[in-house]
Amino acid sequence: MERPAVSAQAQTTPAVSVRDLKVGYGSRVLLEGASFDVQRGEILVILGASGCGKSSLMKNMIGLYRPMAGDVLIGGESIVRAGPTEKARLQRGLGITYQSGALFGSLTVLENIRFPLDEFTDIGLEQKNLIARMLLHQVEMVEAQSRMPAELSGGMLKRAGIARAMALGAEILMLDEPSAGLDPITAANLDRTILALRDNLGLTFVVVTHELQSILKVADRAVMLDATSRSIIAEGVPSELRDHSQDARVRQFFNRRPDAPETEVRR
Amino acid sequence: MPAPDAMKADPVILALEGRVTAYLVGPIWAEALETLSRYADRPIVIDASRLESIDDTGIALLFDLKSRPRSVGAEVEIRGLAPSLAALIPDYAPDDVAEPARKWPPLGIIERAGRAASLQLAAAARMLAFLGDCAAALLQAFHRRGVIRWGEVLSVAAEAGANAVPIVLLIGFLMGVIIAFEIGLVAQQFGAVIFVVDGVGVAVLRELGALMTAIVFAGRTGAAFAAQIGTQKVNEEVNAILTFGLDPVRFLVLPRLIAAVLVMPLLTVLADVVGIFGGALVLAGFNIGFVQFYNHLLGAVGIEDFLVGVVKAAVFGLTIAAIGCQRGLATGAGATSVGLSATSAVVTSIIWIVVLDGFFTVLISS
Ligand SMILES: Nc1ncnc2c1ncn2[C@@H]1O[C@H](COP(=O)(O)OP(=O)(O)OP(=O)(O)O)[C@@H](O)[C@H]1O
Ligand SMILES: [Mg+2]
Repeated sequence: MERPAVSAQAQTTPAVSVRDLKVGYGSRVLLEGASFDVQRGEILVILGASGCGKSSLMKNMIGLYRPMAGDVLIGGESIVRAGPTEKARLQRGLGITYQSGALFGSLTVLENIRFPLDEFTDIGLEQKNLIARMLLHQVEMVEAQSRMPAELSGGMLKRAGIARAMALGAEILMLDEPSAGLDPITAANLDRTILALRDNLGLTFVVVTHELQSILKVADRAVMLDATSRSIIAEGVPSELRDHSQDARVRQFFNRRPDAPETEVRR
Repeated sequence: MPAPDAMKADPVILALEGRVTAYLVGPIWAEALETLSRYADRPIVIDASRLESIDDTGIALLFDLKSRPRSVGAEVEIRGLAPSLAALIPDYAPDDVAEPARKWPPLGIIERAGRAASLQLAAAARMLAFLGDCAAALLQAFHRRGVIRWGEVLSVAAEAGANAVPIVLLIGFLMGVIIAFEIGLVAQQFGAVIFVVDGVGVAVLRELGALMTAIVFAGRTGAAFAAQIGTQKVNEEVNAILTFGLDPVRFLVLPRLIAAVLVMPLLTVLADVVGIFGGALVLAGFNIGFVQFYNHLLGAVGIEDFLVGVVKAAVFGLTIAAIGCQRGLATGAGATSVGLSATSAVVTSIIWIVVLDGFFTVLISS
């Protein structure tokens, strides 16, 4: 049973490394010259206005789409230039959630979580069920385990998607808006789960999110995209970006003010 | 790797070492459970001091071992677990993640048959109600301008009609060839090859042209209608139409019904023409020239044969479109139910086409 190479790499290589990436569809460029690293055990958030290309950037990073230029290294290996088998191996080392949850509609919630375990491990059925239920418990979804995805709310779909992303013990988790649509308490619990997994297991997180509170609480570093300049306009520790950024757009975002504010809202 | 060490009557030591991750945990877990059941009445010590890293599956393993019910004096104890890993072992009761109890006992055969029958009846009632809605919407369309969205009708007609031309041509042609050949071989033995022209003409114009086109139409367009409307239902587009105070029948169904009624007869005429042409080609091989074929055909079939086929085609088109749309609107939730709707639209349509065809035959010949 091969296991993802991610963990085998030296501890010094960044978990994910984005090099001069150009992202877009057809002839339409969304993002150009994007470069940043995500260190092991780091929680990086990707910020930016709706439609600026956060999900697209993530899909390029996980090898779903081919970037127009540039490279993405997962644990030091290029996922862009990898052949099909290599790519599949790299992707299996990533825990990925999609904005819509992306559960398999023909499987129950429990079967969805168990799916990667069924496919890639030789764990016994009862044990897999236990693992799946514990993951569901972590996202407060045990009660819904025998329901079909079509019978779930948007937030529930998302939570189940997160549980599924964690099933194979991926060391890098890529979450697209995991807390959008969740109530504040569930969202806060999710933040706590993310922090606990990072602190205790050393997992790496790349999270697309708009939740200011959650950004300030969990993120070690933030990367902010901008649609008009098609580039990364800020990178740094969120609280510092909030308080000291020279860029009006960044301050606007962190202070929830559409009109460039001079006074800063401190919490 | 767990290495059970039996020491006198004292605890059995089970060592977990190195990495315990999803790809490795299977055999470790199986072995640990085996040890637990083999030494059911002795205390078990899990030595986790040399455990380097675990993931969610390793956490589940430790939780499982720790929380298995054991007799007094035979408890499981985890020793030497790094505090950072220990913090991950949840402390809720194992019942919280136990298998849920089955809520309903399995149904008996009579109960199941009863349920199935009542479901079928309900489906038939819904279909009737739907046909009523369609008729009402159509009536309204005749009285008021602007009810029918002609742009939509045209685009549906192009997709369901124009794009279906190649396959209708192919199937119509082959059908003519096949029946001419089959009847021709038999007729040859009686020296009655010329009457094959009658056979081909009547069969194609009255029956097969409309029937084969309808079957193609059901598979191509009926299924597409059900899938399109079903997807719109699943995406809550239908709900959006409803809450704008609009009628989904008018928006989604009427254009498709009208397009189908217009397009099916046209496709059938195409199938008729190439079917007869296919028959003529085959009969040329039986020494019946095209001119002879043509002259005999004029005597063998009349305009009414052609019209019967065309009218049938319109009715079939209406039926297929109505069933497709109804199945689409009746779609439940999720991508799976869209697939079910499409399948059921095709199957139901084909059944109805054959039944209606029977009606027509009895009706016309009596
Ligand atoms: N498959 C696609 N083909 C073409 N264009 C696309 C595709 N997916 C997204 N886009 C376009 O790319 C842009 C960025 O989309 P993306 O989903 O990456 O935005 P986002 O930053 O994730 O937004 P949100 O915060 O609303 O999720 C949008 O303008 C969208 O229209
Ligand atoms: Mg997005």
